[in-house]
Amino acid sequence: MAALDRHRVALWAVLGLCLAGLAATFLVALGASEVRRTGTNMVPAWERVGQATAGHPVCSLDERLPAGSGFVAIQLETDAHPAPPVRARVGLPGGRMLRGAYVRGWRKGTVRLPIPAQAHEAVGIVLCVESRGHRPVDVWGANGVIGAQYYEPRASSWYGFLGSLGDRLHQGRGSWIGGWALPLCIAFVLLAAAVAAATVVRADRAT
Amino acid sequence: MRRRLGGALARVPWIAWACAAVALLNGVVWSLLQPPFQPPDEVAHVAYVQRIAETGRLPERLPNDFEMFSPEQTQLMLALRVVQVRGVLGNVPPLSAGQTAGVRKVEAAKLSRTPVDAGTASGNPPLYYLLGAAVYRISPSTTLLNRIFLLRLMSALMSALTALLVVLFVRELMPSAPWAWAAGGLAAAFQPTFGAISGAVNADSLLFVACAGALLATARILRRGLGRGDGVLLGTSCAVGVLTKPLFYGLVPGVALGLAIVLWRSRRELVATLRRAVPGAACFVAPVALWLLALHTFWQRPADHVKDVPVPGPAPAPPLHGLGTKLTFMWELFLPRLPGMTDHQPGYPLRDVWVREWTGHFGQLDYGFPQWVYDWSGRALLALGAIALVGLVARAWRARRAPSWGAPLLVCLVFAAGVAFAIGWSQWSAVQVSGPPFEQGRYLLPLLGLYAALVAVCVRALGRRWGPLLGAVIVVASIGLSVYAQMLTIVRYAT
Repeated sequence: MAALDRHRVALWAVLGLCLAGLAATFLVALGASEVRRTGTNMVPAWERVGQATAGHPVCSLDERLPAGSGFVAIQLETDAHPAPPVRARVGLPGGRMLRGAYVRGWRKGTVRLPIPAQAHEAVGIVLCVESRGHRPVDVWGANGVIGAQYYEPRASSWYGFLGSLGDRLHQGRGSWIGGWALPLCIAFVLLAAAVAAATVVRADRAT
Repeated sequence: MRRRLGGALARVPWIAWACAAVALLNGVVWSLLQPPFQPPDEVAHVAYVQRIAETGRLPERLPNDFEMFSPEQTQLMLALRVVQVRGVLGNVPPLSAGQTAGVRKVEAAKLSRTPVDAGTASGNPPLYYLLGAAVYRISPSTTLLNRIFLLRLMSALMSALTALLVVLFVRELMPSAPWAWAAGGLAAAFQPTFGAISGAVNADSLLFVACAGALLATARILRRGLGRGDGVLLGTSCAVGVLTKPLFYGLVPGVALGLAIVLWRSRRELVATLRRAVPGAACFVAPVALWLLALHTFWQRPADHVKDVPVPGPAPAPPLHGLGTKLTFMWELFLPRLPGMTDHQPGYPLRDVWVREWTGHFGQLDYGFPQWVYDWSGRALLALGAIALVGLVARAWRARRAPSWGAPLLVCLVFAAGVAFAIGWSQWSAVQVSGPPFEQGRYLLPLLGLYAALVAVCVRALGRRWGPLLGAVIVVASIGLSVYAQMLTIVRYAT
């Protein structure tokens, strides 16, 4: 009897420790902050689509600027050392112009260029990459269009991102699926884990 | 009949219901996390369901590269940027209401819902799609996206049934160790690739039910002899498998061997045994005959319409010929190359392809776990296999005077070899028709029951003291892998 009790205590301890370790790992991982994407123009960086020099920006027409974007990530390349300062310029419908700060000291690859954040999505914008240097900066994209990924202005943890995530998870999913999708997923994952743990314990007891 | 069914359901152990519940919950989560048309081949399976539901006809079989889905599905795929997202990690589906405005326009446009073909699914037999067409028709909503969600829930229900049958199969192999059934059943229910398919429109969901049913029925008749009920389960499972996907044929050698062993054992009362087999045989023959009849009369299609249609133009290079080459190719797909064999497979596919694919590779195989997860998964599977082997040898030594374990073990090995052969055969055909092989972990999921049995044998091998503890560790690791895969899906499509 005592041996059986010891066995049950050991099972509870192993199960509890493993589950606690798993939960702690996920909770810590969810706390990690990163800058999250708000959207993309779906254009891959497959080829050079233009060369930006002082006074000659490279632009793409009829772009969509997702709400809440604080950066646009574009693949850039140059032979100049150091790389010349570059910035993004966004022409809104109606003629208003948003200019981001110049980025210096960047290296070949995907460069995040700041843009003033907008509360609402803007359609039909002109996205340009400007350079202040005389050596050319190659801008990458495909079919003459800049490949652009838009990001939020600040990094956030998964906890801070949950509200936006709940909204994103039901986009393009059919009218039945609403803001309840994410809470339901979390509840079902926890319920499945609880059912599994209870099954392990009860199955052992039933033997 | 109703009372008998109720009695059978009442005898299902609660562990099986618990594992089914876990699989169902997981399937629903996956159905909500994966965007429409992004799971493997979902575009094709949805088109097949829509074709049957809207026209009552099977899809046409166009050459491989052509797809003529309904204008409604085509426009929805354009609005959701399905093609741009598939296989391109930097691209994501629409993330905001503004970006999905096109979807609402398509839904309001009342476009034609009649597809011509169903792409890669066109050659499949129709059972899953007939069930899907019924769900499609009874859906209270007429928009395709809502119907897809309902079809995904149907797949999740099928995955629950698979998990239930898997636990019953493990119970048949080791009736006195419920903790081993629980470990095996839960490891199967949380298997990430199984979960991802459970939350998608895919005929594989029904194939897995049929395979789990065939494994269970074979194990039961090996242990108890051929009874009417088990015969009916076997016949029905085989009919469902044959009418769902050609990969089921991989299980036929195992079923045939199981039946042969049972008939040999009961050779002194062969007539009575065969008489008991009649209802089961009828359950297999009647639906298959009905299908063949419908193909020839109503649908007017040849029975071999599942064959690949050659792509017009030059044949893909390099063409491989000969039975020896074919067998070598299939051997090397899973096993190490032997001296004298030509090298058809780069690397070591069992480790480099199958362990990775089994552990989890999602979407259009464009995202998955980091490499260290695959490395540890490979080591864990190797350790499980080694412990299970030691356990089996020890058990064989203990039961050497009454080797009741031998026949089930042999049949399980033939099941595994049969599915490997079927995969090798289809990969060979793919190489001949359309280029390089396209291995996916879901092709191994017909053997989900054997995976559960492997886990169960492994924890049982450690005995009553340590086995349940290892079982608990395996179950928690499976939960972790499943949740990790779901988070990767969120990262892939929503951030």
